[in-house]
Amino acid sequence: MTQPTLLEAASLLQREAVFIDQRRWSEWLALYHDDCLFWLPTWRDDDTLIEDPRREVSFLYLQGKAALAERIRRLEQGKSITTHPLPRTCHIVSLPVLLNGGESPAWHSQWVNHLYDPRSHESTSFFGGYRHHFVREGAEWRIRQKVISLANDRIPTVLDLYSV
Amino acid sequence: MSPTSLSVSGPIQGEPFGLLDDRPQDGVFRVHRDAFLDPSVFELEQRRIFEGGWAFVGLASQLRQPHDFVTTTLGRQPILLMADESGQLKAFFNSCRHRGMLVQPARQGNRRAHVCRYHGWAYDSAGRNQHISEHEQGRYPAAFEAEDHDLVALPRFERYRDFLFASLNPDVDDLETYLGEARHFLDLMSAQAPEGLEFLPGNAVYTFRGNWKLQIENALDMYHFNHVHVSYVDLLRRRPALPEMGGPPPTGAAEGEQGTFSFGRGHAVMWRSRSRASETLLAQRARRFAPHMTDAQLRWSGYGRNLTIFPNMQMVDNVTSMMLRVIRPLSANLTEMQTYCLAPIGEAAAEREARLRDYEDFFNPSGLATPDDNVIYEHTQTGLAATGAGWTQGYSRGLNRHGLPDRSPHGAELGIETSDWMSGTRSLGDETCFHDAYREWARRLQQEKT
Repeated sequence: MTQPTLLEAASLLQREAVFIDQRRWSEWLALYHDDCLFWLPTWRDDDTLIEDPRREVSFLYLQGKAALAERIRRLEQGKSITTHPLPRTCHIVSLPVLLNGGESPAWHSQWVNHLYDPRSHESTSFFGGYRHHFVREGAEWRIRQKVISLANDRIPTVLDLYSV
Repeated sequence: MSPTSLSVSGPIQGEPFGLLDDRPQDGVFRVHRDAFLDPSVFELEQRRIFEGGWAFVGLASQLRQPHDFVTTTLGRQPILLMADESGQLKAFFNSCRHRGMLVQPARQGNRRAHVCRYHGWAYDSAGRNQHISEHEQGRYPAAFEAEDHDLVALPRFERYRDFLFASLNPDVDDLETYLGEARHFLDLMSAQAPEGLEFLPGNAVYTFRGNWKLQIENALDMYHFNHVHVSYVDLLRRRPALPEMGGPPPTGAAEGEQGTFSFGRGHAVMWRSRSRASETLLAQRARRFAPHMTDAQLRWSGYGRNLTIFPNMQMVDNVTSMMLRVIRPLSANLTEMQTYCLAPIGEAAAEREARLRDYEDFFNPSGLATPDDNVIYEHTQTGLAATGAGWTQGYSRGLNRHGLPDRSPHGAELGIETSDWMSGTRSLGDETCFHDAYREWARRLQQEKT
């Protein structure tokens, strides 16, 4: 399976972070392949993430771009009180590294996201790791799969696409 | 200590406990804002409600194998639930007899012995002390040797079907009496799971900056649904309906009825006769449930039902999925919630997967409905601080009983007795179903005995 260069992979991750933080939702969505998976598993116990989303609980298990688009629409539409106001976010994402393991090699990176809630004047942060699979679509690389591990999983109030 | 000495007296002149204005004969039921704000009320709630009587602590299927254990809290106190060698379930304070250290810091697991990491005292899965390190050399006095060194059992620990409850106060009614007629709704959940109910693996814990009683109210509140969850409903309407699961919530003539039952100890149910479940799903479930249910139970298994068992357990059966949540107040304005996807043991793989996706869509801090509730609680908590604005008006819907029979026809159908009930159209939005919880709350807070 062909892989992007480190520069291409890193650039894709940085664009993802910037698009979310700048709320450029449609550009963020365009980074994903139509047949994508966006998965944020819960922890089974203190040391282990769940492994089987068909039998265990996920925070987010969004299959296909349409499922991501639903969430984006909810953020843009303003009908959910959770969007009034949206927190200001700041994603910091490390350089990715291509590692073997699982069915195919994946790009592993670390992330931290600082959030400030203008409503409560409180800052909080989420952090963990990303595991990306990319796929070539024409001239572009797209995200085929993004699996997020969230280290600090006692969630204050809301967890959404922009939180992780 | 009397409640008045903790300065919880409210503004009603001459009343020893002024936070509740309970006069249904005058069409008045009001809860004072301080009930949600005052730290001394929180302190009393912890001692006299959460540590003063029955509370939900777990599900029997969490302790399926001998030596399985789960740790949790009851009020502010750490507890340890275990299955002993013979599989018998036992409940203890999670505190070593030696210096009080947590004897088991892990959340769950399987251990034949629990060894305290501080000085090595050890206990078996029945809580019996097995080992005191360097006991002989320790020059212990006779008084120490005369004491028992086993883990201290919780004063009360009982099981109703799959549901485990404990009380730190020994002087309480037996569990079945406490549950009263609300137990029929636990029966209805259990009848959907002949092999028992289980929590699906995966930990989902969240907090909101609001008082726990906002959660008690909201889960019984149908009035908020179309306002708070409009984005979720909107999203379901845009999705293609899944024949084997369901579509958007019913509207218009298909809405069906809505109503509530109160059971006299703070327990209550809010129900609606139609859900978003598809005919295919309802028929499939009915076929499976029929051998285990009465005709009335079978009909009601297809109704949406939200059940509160006072003070800390709520279940939502949306028909398409079931949720159980445990409420843990941390302070007057901070609450921790643990939510579980509840499922029948032995469910087929495809149904389980569909259940999980439906559950995740709605519940959890990452769902499309629960976070809306959480933010609403926080705005409400902030708004309630406007004590100068006086009483709120949020407990009056459903208080006008004009033209209704004495006994609920739905209660009669189910063969249950209720302390109160209301029913009507889907737009009823009854608020009398909160009253029972506040009456029990006020009764318990005013008990001199802690």
